[in-house]
Amino acid sequence: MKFDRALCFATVIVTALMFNSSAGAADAAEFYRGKTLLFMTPGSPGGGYDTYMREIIPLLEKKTGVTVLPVNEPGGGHLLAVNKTYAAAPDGLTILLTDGEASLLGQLLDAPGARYDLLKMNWIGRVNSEKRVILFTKSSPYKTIVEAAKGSTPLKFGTTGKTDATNIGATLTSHALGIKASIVTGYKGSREFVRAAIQGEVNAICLSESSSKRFSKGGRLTPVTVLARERSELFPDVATIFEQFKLSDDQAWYFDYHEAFAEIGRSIVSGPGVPAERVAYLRKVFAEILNDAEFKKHMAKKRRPISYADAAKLDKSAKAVLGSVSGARKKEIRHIIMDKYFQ
Amino acid sequence: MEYFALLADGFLRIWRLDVLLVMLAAIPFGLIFGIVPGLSGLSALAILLPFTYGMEPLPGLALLLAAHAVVYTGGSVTAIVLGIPGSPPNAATVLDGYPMARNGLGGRAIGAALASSGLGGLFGVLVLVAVLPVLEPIVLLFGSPETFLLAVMGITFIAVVGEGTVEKGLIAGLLGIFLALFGYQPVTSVPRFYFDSDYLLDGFRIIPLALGLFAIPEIVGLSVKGRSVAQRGDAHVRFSQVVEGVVAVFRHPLLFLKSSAIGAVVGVVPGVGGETAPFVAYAAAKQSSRTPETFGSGEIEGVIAPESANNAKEGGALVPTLAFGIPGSAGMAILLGGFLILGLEPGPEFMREHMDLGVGLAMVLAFANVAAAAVMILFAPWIARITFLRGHVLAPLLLAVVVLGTFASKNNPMDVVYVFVFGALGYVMKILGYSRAPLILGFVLTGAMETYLHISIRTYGLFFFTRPISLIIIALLVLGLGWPFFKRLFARWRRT
Amino acid sequence: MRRLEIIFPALLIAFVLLVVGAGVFYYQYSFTVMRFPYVSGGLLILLAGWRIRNALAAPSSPADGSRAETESETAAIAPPPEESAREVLLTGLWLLGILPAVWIFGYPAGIPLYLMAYFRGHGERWAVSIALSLVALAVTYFVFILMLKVRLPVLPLGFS
Repeated sequence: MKFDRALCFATVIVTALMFNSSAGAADAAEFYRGKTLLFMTPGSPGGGYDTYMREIIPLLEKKTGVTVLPVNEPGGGHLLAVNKTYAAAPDGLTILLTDGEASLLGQLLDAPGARYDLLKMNWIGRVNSEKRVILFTKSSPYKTIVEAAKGSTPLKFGTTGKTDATNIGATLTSHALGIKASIVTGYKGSREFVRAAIQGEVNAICLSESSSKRFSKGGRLTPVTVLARERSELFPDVATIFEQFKLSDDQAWYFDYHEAFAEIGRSIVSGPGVPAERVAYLRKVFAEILNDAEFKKHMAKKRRPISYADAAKLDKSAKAVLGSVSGARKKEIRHIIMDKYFQ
Repeated sequence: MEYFALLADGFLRIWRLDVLLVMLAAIPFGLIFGIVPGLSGLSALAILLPFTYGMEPLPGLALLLAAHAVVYTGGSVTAIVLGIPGSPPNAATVLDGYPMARNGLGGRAIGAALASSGLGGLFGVLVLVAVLPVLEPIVLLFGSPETFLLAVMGITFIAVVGEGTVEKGLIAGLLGIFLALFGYQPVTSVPRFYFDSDYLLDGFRIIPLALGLFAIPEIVGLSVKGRSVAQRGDAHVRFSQVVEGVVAVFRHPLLFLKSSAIGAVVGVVPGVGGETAPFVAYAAAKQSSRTPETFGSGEIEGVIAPESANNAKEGGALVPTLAFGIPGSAGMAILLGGFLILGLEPGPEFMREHMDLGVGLAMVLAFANVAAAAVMILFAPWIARITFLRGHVLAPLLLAVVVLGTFASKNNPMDVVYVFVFGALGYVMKILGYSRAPLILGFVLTGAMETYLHISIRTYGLFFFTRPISLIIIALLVLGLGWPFFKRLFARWRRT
Repeated sequence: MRRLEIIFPALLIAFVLLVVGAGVFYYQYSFTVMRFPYVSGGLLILLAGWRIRNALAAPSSPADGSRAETESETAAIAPPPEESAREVLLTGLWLLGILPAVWIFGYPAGIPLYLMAYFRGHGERWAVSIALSLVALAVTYFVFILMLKVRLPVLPLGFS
C-alpha cells in the first residue's frame, strides 16, 4: 500500500517534470513575447560592438517578439557593462555583448572595479572572434618578427590600454619570444595608433584580423605574423608564429593561452541565476540568428564577420583561461601584461 | 581648376529632395537638443545613429552632421537667456551673454550669438574646403607632443577666462583639473580614486558638472526672490533688437575672423577636444581688447568670440575625421560610427575615392549652419521674452528640465544626484566670486593633457617639445600669455 | 560671508588632502598615476592657503574687496546681502524636494506633482499650476519616454 502510494507519487513527479521540461521552452518563448529586453554592450555608438548589436536587434525582435532596448555602456575599461549585467535582476531580460579579452583579464587579474564572476554567468553564444595579427610600420627597425626577436633595438608597440586586447597580444608575444619591447598606452583606438604609426611615434601594433586587413591596405603597415596555430583566412600569405619559430613547450604555452583568450571574442552572455529554460531559449534563438546564411553574408559584406560558437565551447574557453592557471602563473601573467614593458 | 568643378558638383549634390528633407528634420532636432540643458550633441547623435541603418551615404551622413552642427547654435540661446549652458561648450557664452540678458539686452545678445554661430560655421566650412585636397599632411603635422602642447595652451587660459581675481580663477581651474582626475586613467588602466563606486569608475561627468555649476545657482536665485531674469528693459522684445545684435557681428570683423580661426584650428587637432575652442576664443578676445575689464559684465564681443569659435570648430573637426578616421571632437566620434555603418571607411584611400562625398558633407555643414541661425533669429524675440518670466514660474520648470535632461544624457539616476552636489559647489563659488568657466575648461582639457604627455615622453623622450611644430606652439603660447606685457613694452618703446 | 571666504578654501584643501591621501596610503598608486594629482592638488592647496591668508588679513566689513569682486562677477541674480542664509536654505530644500518626488512617485507622476506643490506653495493660481503641471506631464511622457526612449523610472520607488 505504502509502496503503491510512493510509486503513484513518483509517477506524478516524473510526469510533471517531463511535462515541465517540454513546456519550458514554450513557456520561455511566451515569457519573452511583449517584454522589454536590455541589450548592453561596452562599445560606443557606431563602433564594432555597437554595429554587431544593432544588426542583431531587428532579427531578435522578429524572432522572439521582445522589444529590445540597446544600451551602450562604455567605460571602466569595458568592465562597467559586465558589472551591470552581473548585478541585473536574474530574469533573463538583460543580456550583454561582451568584450571577451577585457572581461576575462579583469577577472583573472582581479582588477579593481571588476565585480563579476564569468564562470557563474550564462554564456549564450559567440558572435565573432578573430585571430590577432602583429603589424610593423615602415619606420620599424625590423622587417620581420624573427629579426625583431634577435635584435637589440627596442620595438615600440602602440596600444589603447593595459587591459585591452591590443596590449595582451603585444606583451605575451614579446615575453614569449624575448623581444625587447617598450609599450606606449593611451591611444584612443586602433585608428589613432595607426596615425601614430604613420608618424613614426610607434612602430608595431597588434590588431584583430579584420582591422589589420583594413589598415594594411595602403601598404604603410605590414602584417608580419598571425598569433594562432592556423593561418588567417584574410591573410593566407602571412605565416603564423608557430611556422616562423621553433617554439619550446613553454613558449608555445603563452601563444595557446593567448588564443584561448581571443577565443571568447565578442560573445553574448547573461547574468547568473537566470532560469534554465530562458537561457536555453536565448541560446536557441541566437544560434538560429547567428547561423543564418543570409545574415552571415550581409555581415561579411560589412566586414563584420560572424563566427558562431555555442555556449559549451565558450564555457570551456573561459574555464581554460580562468581556471587552469596556478597562483604563480597568474602573478607572472600580471607582471607581463601590466608591468614588464612599462618601465 | 578640377577641384572647383568638384566643389560645384558637391554644391549641386545636396539639392536632392531626400537630402533636403533629412536636413529639415535634423536641424530642429539638433536645435532642441542644444536648447534643452543636459541633452547635448552627443545624445542627439546617439539617438539618430540607428536611423542611418539602410540609408544611402549622403542622406545618412547629412542627418547626423546637420543635427550635430546646429546643437551649439541652440545652446547659445539657453546660455544667454537663462545663464545655463545649453551644451557644455556654451559655458563660455554665459560669461557675457547672461549679463546682457539681465540688463534687458537679451534680444541683442541672441542676435549676435546666432549670427556669429552661423557665420562661424560657414568659416569652418571654408577652412575644410580649402584643406580637403591636402587633408593628410595637415593632420600629420600634429602628433602626440603637439596635441599635448595645445592642451597646455588651452589650460593656460584658465587665469584669463571669466571674471573675478586671477587667484580665484586659478583655484577654480585647478579644482576642475583635480576633479577630472577621478576615474579610469587610460595609460595605466587604473580606476583612480574610484572609492569602490561604479559611478566613479568613469569619473565625474561633464553634463552634471556643467549643469550643477551653472543651472542650480541660477535656479536658486530665481526661486529665492521670484523675480525674472531680466531686471531692466521691456518685455516686448522687438525684432529690431535682434537685428542690432546681428549687425554687431559685422562691426567686429577682425574679432570674428580671429575667433573662427581659433575654432577651426582647435577643431583640426584631434584629442584636444573641440570643447576648448570657445574658451580659448573668449580669452583671446579679452586679452586683445582695449577694455578687458568690461568683459564679464555684458560685453557683446564676449558673445561673438565664443560662438563663432564654437561652430567653426566642427568644420575643422571634420578634417581628421575624413583624413584618418580620427574624430576631431566627441561628436565626430559618433559621426565616424555613421560612416562605418554606411559601409564607408574614412582614411587616405577614402578621400581619393570619395572626394565628392567630402565636398557634399562640407555643403551640408554650410547649409545647416546658415539655416539654423536663420530659423532661430526669426524666433529670437519670443525666446528672449523668457527672460521676463516670473522666477517662481520659471525656476521649478527649469529644474524639471534639468533633472530630465541630465537623466536622459546617460540614463543614470546618480547623475541627477550629482547635479545637486555640484550645484551646491556652484552656488558657493558664485556668491564668493569664483568664476565657474575656468573649472569647466580645466575639467575638459585634463584628460588630453595627461594622456598625451605620457605618450610624448614614452615616444620622443623628455625633449619631445623640440619638434618644429611644437616650438611654434610654444612660441604662440608665450606670445599669448605675455601679450599685455608686450603691449606695454611696445607702447613705452614708441613713446621714447 | 567672510566666514565662508575662509571655510570654502579650507574645505577644498581638506578634499584634496583626503583624496590624495587615499591614493598614497590606501590605494598605493604608482607615480604615473599620482603625477597629475600631486601637481594639481599641490598647487590647489597652495593657492587655497594663500586665499585663506588674504581673507584673514582683509578688514572684516562686508564692503571689502571680496564683495566688490562679487558685484562685477556674473552679478548674482539677487546679490548675496539680499539673500539671507535662511531664505537660501529654504529654497535649497524646496529644490531638493524634486529628488524624493521622482523617486517616490516615478518620473511621469513625480514631476507634475512636484511642480504642483511648488507652484501652490509659492502662491501661483490653481489654473496656472494645473496647466503647467499637465504640460510637464505631457513633455515627460511623450518627449522623453516615447520619443527619446529614455529609461526613466516610470513606477514608484525606482521601479521601471
